[in-house]
Amino acid sequence: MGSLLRNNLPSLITAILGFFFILTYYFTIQPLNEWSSTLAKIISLTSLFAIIPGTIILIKRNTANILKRGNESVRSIVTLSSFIIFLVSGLMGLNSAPWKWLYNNVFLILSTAIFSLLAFYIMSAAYRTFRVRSWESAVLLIVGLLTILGVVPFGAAIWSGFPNIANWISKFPSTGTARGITIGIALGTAGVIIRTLIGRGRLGGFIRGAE
Amino acid sequence: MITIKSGFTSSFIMFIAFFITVMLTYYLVSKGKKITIRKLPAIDALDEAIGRATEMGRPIHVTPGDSGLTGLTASETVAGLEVSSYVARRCAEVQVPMYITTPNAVVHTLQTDIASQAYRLAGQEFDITNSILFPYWTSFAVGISGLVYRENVAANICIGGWHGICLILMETASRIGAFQIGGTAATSQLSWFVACCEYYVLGEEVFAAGAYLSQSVADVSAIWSQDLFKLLVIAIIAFGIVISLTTGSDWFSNLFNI
Amino acid sequence: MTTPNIEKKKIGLTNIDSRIIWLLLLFVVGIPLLNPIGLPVQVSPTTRDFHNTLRSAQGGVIALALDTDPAGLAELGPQLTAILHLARDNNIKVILVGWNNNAGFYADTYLPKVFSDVWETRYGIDFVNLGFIPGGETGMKQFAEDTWSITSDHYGESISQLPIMENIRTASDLDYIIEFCWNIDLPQNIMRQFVAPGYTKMLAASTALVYPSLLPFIGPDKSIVAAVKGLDGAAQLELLSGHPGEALKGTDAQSLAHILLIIFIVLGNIGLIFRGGKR
Repeated sequence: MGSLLRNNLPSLITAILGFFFILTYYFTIQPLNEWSSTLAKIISLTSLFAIIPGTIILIKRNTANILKRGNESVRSIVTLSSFIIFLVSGLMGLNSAPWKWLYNNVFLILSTAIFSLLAFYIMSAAYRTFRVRSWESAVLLIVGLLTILGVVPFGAAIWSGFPNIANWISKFPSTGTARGITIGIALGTAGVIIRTLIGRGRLGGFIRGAE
Repeated sequence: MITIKSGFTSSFIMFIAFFITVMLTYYLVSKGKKITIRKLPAIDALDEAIGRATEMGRPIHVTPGDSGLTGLTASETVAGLEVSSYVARRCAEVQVPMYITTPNAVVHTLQTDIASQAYRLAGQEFDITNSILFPYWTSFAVGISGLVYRENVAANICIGGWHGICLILMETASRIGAFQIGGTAATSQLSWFVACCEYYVLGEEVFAAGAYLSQSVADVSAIWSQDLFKLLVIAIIAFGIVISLTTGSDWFSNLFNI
Repeated sequence: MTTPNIEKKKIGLTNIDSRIIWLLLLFVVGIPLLNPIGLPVQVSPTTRDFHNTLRSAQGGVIALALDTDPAGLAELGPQLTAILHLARDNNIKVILVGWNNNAGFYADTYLPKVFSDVWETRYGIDFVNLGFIPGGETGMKQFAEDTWSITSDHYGESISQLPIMENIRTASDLDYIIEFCWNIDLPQNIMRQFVAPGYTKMLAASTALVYPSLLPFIGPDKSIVAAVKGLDGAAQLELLSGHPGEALKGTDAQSLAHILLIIFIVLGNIGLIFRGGKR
């Protein structure tokens, strides 16, 4: 009985809540629509608990590395000390000066810097990729060049038709392709969701804990 | 009193139709109907990647992406975990070290479980320090790049849900000459996989990859139901184009606004 | 741990070292940022649509959903500043909110850039920072159905003390919601929870990377009425609003980077032709 409950109760809860939200999304059923608002608030709060396992793993792993005194220990010291500094400044208040300083001058800057690395990697990846090795890659190259010239102000200065061509490429072939892929992804996602609701498939298995 | 919300009727009908299709295909496949998923070169290349790592004596890096198990990218992450499970089993069999990484705590727990189970089935013990959590996606981006570079991986397998930083990982892996297999369903990221990977799965092939490896009833029947529904969508689009061109009226497209 | 094997090949046009490419890019981007050239910026029809649509909300109330990660702020920050200027100039009240846990901090950083002179007198009347709403899409649903479900703003002030919120009880009291998106999931969440149920209309302010994915949804009678794209969109908005800022400075660097990209692509192909098309 115990294992039956353990394996099937999570799936049952998932199924009930899932179908409940689907029904209240499509239908007006009083008082279910009010209950769905309250449930949405409760779920919003429970989703915050996902932070806890990540924090525990971070502390455990890095403490173990520091105690081992191996190659990873310096990186772990930096990680843990950054974590403690941000935690303490956050506990001083999210409108406090230390938190604001750290957030604006460390966290935001570092995050933006890492994302900006993409520009460099895009340059080297595009240099390697846009080569005329076959007719497909020739089409890719021509379309890519036309799009770039359409976006850059220089392109419009060279010939006023480039922005119109780039606009046409993004409005028709590009949008059509994106639509097709989006439909496929939406069906795939809907399939996974339905399988999860009925307790089948890998995600359903994860919830059941039976895999 | 139960009333359907205005503008939701056609959407609800499509949902019910798809739900019935999923249930029907699941029933038919569970009763023995054989469905063949076409060959996916990227998935067939997984063994080639593992073989390369064995010959070179270098480890493999696998990641199911930078997404979690909530939201639209959950299905891609699940497919990525399916691939990770297969790679873990094969790595255990040939005793090649494997690193598996993620920025999501819940996925980290699952992937550690998956890898440990796969190794146990092969009579090996998985070193759980090789399942690494980088808690935030920017630290994940640079963390896995550093890991891949330091450990000089022979192969980098990154099939799953990606939001934006896969190029950082794949360019680093390219620079060290790693064999790369990747894929995602995110349209904004597809071009990076084409640019950097030797083999790739794009769009809904990611979901098919999961089914191709697991061959489970649920996964295979889901692929079949998706394909059937796509045929229906194509037929509706074609019919709509014909109606619109011949009659010039919007009555057919207005049906989907009900 | 084995040493990475980065092969030393003979350098030709087809295998220029990535580090040379990156160094050149650093110069090409860095120099115009320090010393702007002033290349012309053309306003695209899509940005003009966005500008006109936003101005049509004159006298109304819009919500700005700051769901971007900090990494997206390089493009979305200047867009946010330009939109806030436009809102102020056109007497549009703004509610800054978000389902990303940094939303309150972004609003706290960017609101003073436009409203610092009237912060004490007009906060809560013309603009408000409601901060982060937890729960992702569930939180969006909750906010759309009942905007007063969040009981206080980012600074802890009760929502009942904020005059701007007096007549905003559900999302249908908003003229538009503008989603600041750096991935495709977020605008789809807004479409499902705000647009599909018919609460309000949606505009999008997106990074250049995400914009192609939004194209199927953009149109006057579609889910996203209008959208602005990336840093060049922000520069165009700055031009239209008459408040030049960071984006206009950045477009020089962006344009030159694109030119450098074209040069390297051409060089790579010339090298390939001379090698007889071999890899």
